Amino acid sequence: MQVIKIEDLYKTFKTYKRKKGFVGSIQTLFTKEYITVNAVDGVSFGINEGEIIGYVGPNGAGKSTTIKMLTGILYPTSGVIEVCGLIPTKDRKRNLMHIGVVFGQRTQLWWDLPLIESFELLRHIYRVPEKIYRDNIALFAELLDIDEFINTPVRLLSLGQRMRGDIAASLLHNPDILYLDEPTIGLDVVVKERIRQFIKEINIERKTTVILTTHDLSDIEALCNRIMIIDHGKVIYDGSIDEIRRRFGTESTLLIEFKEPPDQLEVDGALEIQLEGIRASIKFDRKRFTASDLISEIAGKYPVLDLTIEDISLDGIIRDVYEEGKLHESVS
Amino acid sequence: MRAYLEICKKSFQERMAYRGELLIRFVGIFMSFYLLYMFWKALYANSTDVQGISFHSMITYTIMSAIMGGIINIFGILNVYLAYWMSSRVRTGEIVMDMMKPTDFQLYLFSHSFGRLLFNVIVSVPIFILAIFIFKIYLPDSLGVLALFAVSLSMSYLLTFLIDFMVSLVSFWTTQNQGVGGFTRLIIALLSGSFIPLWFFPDWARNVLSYFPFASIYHVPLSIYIGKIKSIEGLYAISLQIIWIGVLFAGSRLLWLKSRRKLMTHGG
Ligand SMILES: Nc1ncnc2c1ncn2[C@@H]1O[C@H](COP(=O)(O)OP(=O)(O)OP(=O)(O)O)[C@@H](O)[C@H]1O
Ligand SMILES: [Mg+2]
Repeated sequence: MQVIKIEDLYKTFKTYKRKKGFVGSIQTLFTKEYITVNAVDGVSFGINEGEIIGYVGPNGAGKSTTIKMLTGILYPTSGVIEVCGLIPTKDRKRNLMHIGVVFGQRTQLWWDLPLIESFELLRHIYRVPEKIYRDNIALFAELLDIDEFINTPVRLLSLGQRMRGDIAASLLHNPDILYLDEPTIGLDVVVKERIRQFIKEINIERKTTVILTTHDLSDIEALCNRIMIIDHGKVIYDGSIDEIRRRFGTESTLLIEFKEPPDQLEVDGALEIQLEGIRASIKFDRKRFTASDLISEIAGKYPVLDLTIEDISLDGIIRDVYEEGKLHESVS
Repeated sequence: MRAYLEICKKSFQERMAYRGELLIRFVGIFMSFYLLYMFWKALYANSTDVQGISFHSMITYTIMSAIMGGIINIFGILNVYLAYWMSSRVRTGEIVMDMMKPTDFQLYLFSHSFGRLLFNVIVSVPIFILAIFIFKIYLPDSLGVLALFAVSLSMSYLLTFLIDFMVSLVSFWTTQNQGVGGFTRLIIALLSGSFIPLWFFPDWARNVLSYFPFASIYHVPLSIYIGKIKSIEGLYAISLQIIWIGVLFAGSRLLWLKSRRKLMTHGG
């Protein structure tokens, strides 16, 4: 079942050109010169119930703007958004009742009050039944360890604690859809792993649909079955991670340790060779050669002690995709 | 409804977190009272009565006005006023977190504000009692007058909130409302009778002012308090306050619907 449907979505921001200096600022008052930014530039996609979507793209790509429109806070310039059959800006309250939102760089918690007070308030705002509320608090205590700091004023929490608090807060009312905009920003590996496990658990247990924005692609690898890449307001890739690997991640690296340092190393089909003493790293394209071809060729010529194969990281692939996107743009 | 009550409670609790700062504020407040006292003393140096108002009444008026200001959030003796808060939230993008709640935005802000109001009222009690002893301000003639004053003061609060709310929304259009906010506060300070009672204004000016809601904010409750406006006249003035509330409420709803579309959220 499709829970989110976006068709031909545009959001254009107008900012008035500001001129420098005093005279400039006077001029600004009287001229109506402005710059337009197409933050979201014709985006269409559908998301099914229970999916975890990785929504990635370079800084300024339009990710947060898309999410703000999905929550009904920002009005689209044009296009259609439907979330569980509701139009977010029209049915603002009803839409907000069944979604959860985390903006990693902000907090919805009351800064000066103990964490539990914010939860109590949200319980009333979302009219969460007593039992569900208590079960959820227990669950969050178990999975996120929030009970350790639940009575501490939020302003005294560490970033990781606050983020766990915010994520718990966004899930108190068992939302059908969870929007996470950079929920792991600035967190250490242990807390990150915690949060990932938690999101996975919630997704499986409750069929919560998750849209995750992050610059840490290991989040995406750990959680998402589908990835959408957006750049300059346009979706430039939408598909599975396996597919993206197959299409873009065909470059592998063979790391070899020799018994004795070869004078020089020649391998047919290598894209790039680096030799340092007894160690060599050889890049090759898996579409054209298999690893075993390459290994037998090398082992035939040189005495090999040890070898490993490294696939290109998702980071590397995504970087290539961004760059390819830029390539298309400069051509068109 | 319960949700709004809870917001109000939390907002009150939040203020309580800063009660430690109160003592230093008290010192500042009483210093400003003293300045007001000296100012009027100088003006009354050669007369016991100006426009039928005794020095004693004038001091009561002016100090009650200052206490009122602290209660209804407009001059921020104890508070940051709403429009300022909002423009900084819009500028930093924090406003997103407020708008993300499935509540009526205006009521949400009102509940916030009301929690602070309760705190202000409580804090103002000792200030009021001290002022009675130090500056010899007097109590209203009767309980009836006191009740009328309390009603009128509540209306002043609602008026202030509505004006403040509308000024706040300006930041949805320009991301900045400091200019408009500062201007509004200046206008209210001058034309509401908060510093200079309106009976010192020339007739024509008072006539013009009767077409604006400003007098309803300070002039009406304070005149009721000192006994310058009596019974029926007081009720009449309060009905005018209520009419203004109705007008401004309708205006603010309309402005809110328009402003929502204008919001440009900033940052991440
Ligand atoms: N209120 C605004 N006024 C003008 N331009 C804006 C506004 N909000 C966003 N933009 C612009 O729209 C584009 C998309 O911004 P958005 O915040 O959606 O990016 P993002 O993909 O979330 O980036 P990041 O990864 O850095 O968070 C950027 O070019 C940004 O400068
Ligand atoms: Mg962003």
